[in-house]
Amino acid sequence: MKNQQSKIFILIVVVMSVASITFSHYMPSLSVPIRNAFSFFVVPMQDRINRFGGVLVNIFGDRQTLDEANLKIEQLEDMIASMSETINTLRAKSYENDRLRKLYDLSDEYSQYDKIACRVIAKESGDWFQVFKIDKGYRDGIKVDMNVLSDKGLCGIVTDVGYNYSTVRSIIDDESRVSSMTQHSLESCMVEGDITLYNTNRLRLTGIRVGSTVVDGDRIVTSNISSKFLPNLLIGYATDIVINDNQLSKSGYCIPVTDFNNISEVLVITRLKSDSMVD
Amino acid sequence: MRKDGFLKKNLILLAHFSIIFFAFILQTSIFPLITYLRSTPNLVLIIVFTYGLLYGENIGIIVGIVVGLLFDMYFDETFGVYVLIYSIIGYANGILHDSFYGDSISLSMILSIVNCFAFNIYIYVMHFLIRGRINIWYCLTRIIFPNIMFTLIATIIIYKFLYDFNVIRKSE
Repeated sequence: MKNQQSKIFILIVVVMSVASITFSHYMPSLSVPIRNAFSFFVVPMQDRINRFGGVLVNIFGDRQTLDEANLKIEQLEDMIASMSETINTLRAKSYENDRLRKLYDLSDEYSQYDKIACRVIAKESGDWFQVFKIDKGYRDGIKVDMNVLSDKGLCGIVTDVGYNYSTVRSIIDDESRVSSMTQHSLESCMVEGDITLYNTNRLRLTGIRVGSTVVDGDRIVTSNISSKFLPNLLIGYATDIVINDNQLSKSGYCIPVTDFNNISEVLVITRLKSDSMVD
Repeated sequence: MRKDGFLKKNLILLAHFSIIFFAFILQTSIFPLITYLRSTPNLVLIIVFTYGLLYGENIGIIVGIVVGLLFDMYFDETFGVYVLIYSIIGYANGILHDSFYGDSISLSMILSIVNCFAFNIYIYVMHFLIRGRINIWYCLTRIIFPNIMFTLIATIIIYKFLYDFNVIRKSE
């Protein structure tokens, strides 16, 4: 009797979840209110726990002695001094640049985008995905398809936004495709994530014209023609470029500048590519 | 007297729920921070199959639904993917409840391997095979196998705790 009961129970659950998978696949917006309500109390908690966990990890992982740290501080102070000198010179040049740009009536295409700094609060569990959550949502003005940067270069794209969190898919995720180009020859190519390359911290580089002059070490940046990524964001450097067996295209690998193993803070660019198409 | 029993029942329910929630938070927020871990153990899976084994099919399914909802609400774009697999795992292990008494650690270790394998294959089929990624051998050796090993180690540690908790509850 009890057996029969639980059989019916599991049957109902299976039917309902299959129905819900089908529904949410075709109408993703349906589940948004439920997710928002849930994240309302989980996200602050996760944020705090994450900070606490970070402190713990630091205590155990920190092998630097105080002497080393002091030495490092001295070096850094020297560096700051020389850098502020450089900044002053650059600032002068930047004023001049601005003035000349105005003179030539050029738009400020490559200048600073507005960014929001976010903290990474959770990672998709297991090793199947390279997807993570950040602690800012539409409350803070984040929208789907905004580009995400690490401190060095392109890191991912926002795929889902809740009230106080958003989901970011890294460019090394298996589903990620970034339309890109080489910086010096403007040769277009495609940067793809691949599950077999997660561990080696590499990306696949495909779709390069066979007659092109792409060589190992070329800087790969996001392309002008991408519909979602803003132009000229650094992705990484090309390596191991070979001609494919069919003799029609070249492919190789791209070593990203971002270290995807240790991402704790990211910057989200608040300008969408589609905005620039509107104006 | 009856009111006391009611309170106690609720307290135990709360304790069960906090175990699940704690495992969820640990798995999603703490483990990914430890970057030198090769893989992360699937704590939540251990909880689902242990509850199925110790408390029977119905509880197994309920815990599976709770855990699945946590993951669905938090991660996946399609709602229900995790509810489906976790409730089935809870149910399947619940069937064993009548035939075995869950005090042997070796049974839990075997179940851990089988369940973890089934779970990972399910994820592979739902997210990768469906898009035509057929490099199963790579996934087996590099992702599924380490995951099973880590989960197995975690099972040895956690199972005893959950079992003792069950014994305390029953003796009261």
